[in-house]
Amino acid sequence: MEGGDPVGAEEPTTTLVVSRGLCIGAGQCVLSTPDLFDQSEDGRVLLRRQPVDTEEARVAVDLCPSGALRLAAGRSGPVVDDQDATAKGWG
Amino acid sequence: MTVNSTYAADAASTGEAPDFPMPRTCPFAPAPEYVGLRAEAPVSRVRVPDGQLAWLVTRYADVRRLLTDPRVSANRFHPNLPLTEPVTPQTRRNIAAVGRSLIGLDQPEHGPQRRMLIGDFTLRRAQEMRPHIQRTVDECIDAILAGPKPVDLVAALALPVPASMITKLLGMPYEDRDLIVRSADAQLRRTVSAEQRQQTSSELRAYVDRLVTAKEAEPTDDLLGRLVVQNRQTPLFDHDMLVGLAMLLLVAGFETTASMISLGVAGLLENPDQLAVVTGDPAAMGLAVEELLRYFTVVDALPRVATADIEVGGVTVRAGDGLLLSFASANWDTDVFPDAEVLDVHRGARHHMAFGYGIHQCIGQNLARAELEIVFRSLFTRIPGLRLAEELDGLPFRKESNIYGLDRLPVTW
Ligand code: HEM
Ligand code: SF4
Repeated sequence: MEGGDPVGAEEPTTTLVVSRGLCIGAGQCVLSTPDLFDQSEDGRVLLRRQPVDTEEARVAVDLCPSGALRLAAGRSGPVVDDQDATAKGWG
Repeated sequence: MTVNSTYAADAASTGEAPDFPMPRTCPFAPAPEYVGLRAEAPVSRVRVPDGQLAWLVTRYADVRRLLTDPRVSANRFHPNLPLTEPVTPQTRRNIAAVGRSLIGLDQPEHGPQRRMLIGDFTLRRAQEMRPHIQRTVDECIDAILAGPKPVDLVAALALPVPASMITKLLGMPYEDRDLIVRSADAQLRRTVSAEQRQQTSSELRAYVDRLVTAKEAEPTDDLLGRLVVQNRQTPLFDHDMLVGLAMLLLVAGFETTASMISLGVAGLLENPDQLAVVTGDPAAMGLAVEELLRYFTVVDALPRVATADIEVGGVTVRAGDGLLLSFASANWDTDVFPDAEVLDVHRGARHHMAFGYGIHQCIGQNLARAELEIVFRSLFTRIPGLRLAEELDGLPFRKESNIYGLDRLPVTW
């Protein structure tokens, strides 16, 4: 399906990818999984610790409305991307 | 106005499309038509008050997918954007600046504006607002207990609490709280004429313009003041856009929260077993608020426009077609929320769409949660014998309004 559902991924190795440039500060991640996520003063998502057990992150990934949290296959360890995505457009 | 040829052809070949908004018949359930539409025509044509046709989307999965689809635009100035309420040309001018802020923007314009604001809306900032909210709620309940019975909870609690929160957040003088309450009230009541409504919208516009001008002259330590300062460093807004954004913040957070307060109280009073759960266990209140948000979904549906052809729910939506995405229907989709018609404070579902989804998901959601939790907890703790003073079915629910709510909620104890 177009866009895909990141939560549906069943690969043996999945990675949490955090794209801070996409974060819209809704705070769903912090509210649902406070021991894993935080928000900086400017309102964007922060990862509190690494490595991340992706199972732990699943609920937040599903709730995140902006695509800033994703589960991706085939890499190891979380990837935090601080790039500002807006110049490229969102999608 | 541009003519959309797809619509003209479709309307001719398929006959009449039902009117939208579709009125509720039961005070506690979304429009009954949604049940059949989800099952049989999850993306179907409806006609909005100004006569335009649009696609009504009713299934959770489809609504959620479209809200993250970059081919779906929130542009308030697109001629095919389906407006669910008729507006006068003057009102349209008054709210034009709102459309140029946040809620009417697509990427890449949306992100930079939103990012200027989110520092003021983190979970931590919402927690810091709690003492202020608690104080306001306590004052309201003091006044209720000291006054005559029955009392109208909309006027005594549901309106003043969000009004006080928003005045504090935006850095408005406290005395102006009443103006916000009066003008919102005028926008909401069905008995108010279009002219009166237009007049209050003009008054509010003029008020907010003066407020923003004052902040520009002397930026204070509040959201608008900080925005003015940030904007000097990284110019994003002209004066009119700042006014539009301030209007948006005033309006978006007010009616919605007020509605949730009065509906939430009615919902808990009518479900005493559920009320007993939350009064017996204060820790249950957080998820109970989520369930009340899902159950009532006060923002029924929001308009969008497709910017390319999109296949969804078995139909092809053409570029330029208007869309109405129904959060109320999505939140009662039994594929996602089994026994959706049951108010179950133990449901534990946070993935409802009462605050929308995608880049426009409500920026004030954590403030709203804090307000609702404090109101329900304080009210039922301090007035344990609270009950409706009139039959539920006879209460003035805003059944045809796109923002659901109550005009009046008489209670006694
Ligand atoms: C129970 C209360 C509330 C409900 C049900 C609610 C609902 C919503 C919904 C459904 C949207 C999505 C609009 C869209 O997709 O076009 C939204 C956006 C928004 N809300 Fe709320 N809201 C509430 C409280 C608040 C509060 C307290 C504030 C501010 C103090 C607020 C400010 C906003 C703003 C500024 C947006 C636009 C965000 C954007 O476009 O990026 N809301 N709200
Ligand atoms: S849920 Fe997503 S958009 Fe919201 S704060 Fe967390 S990462 Fe950002």
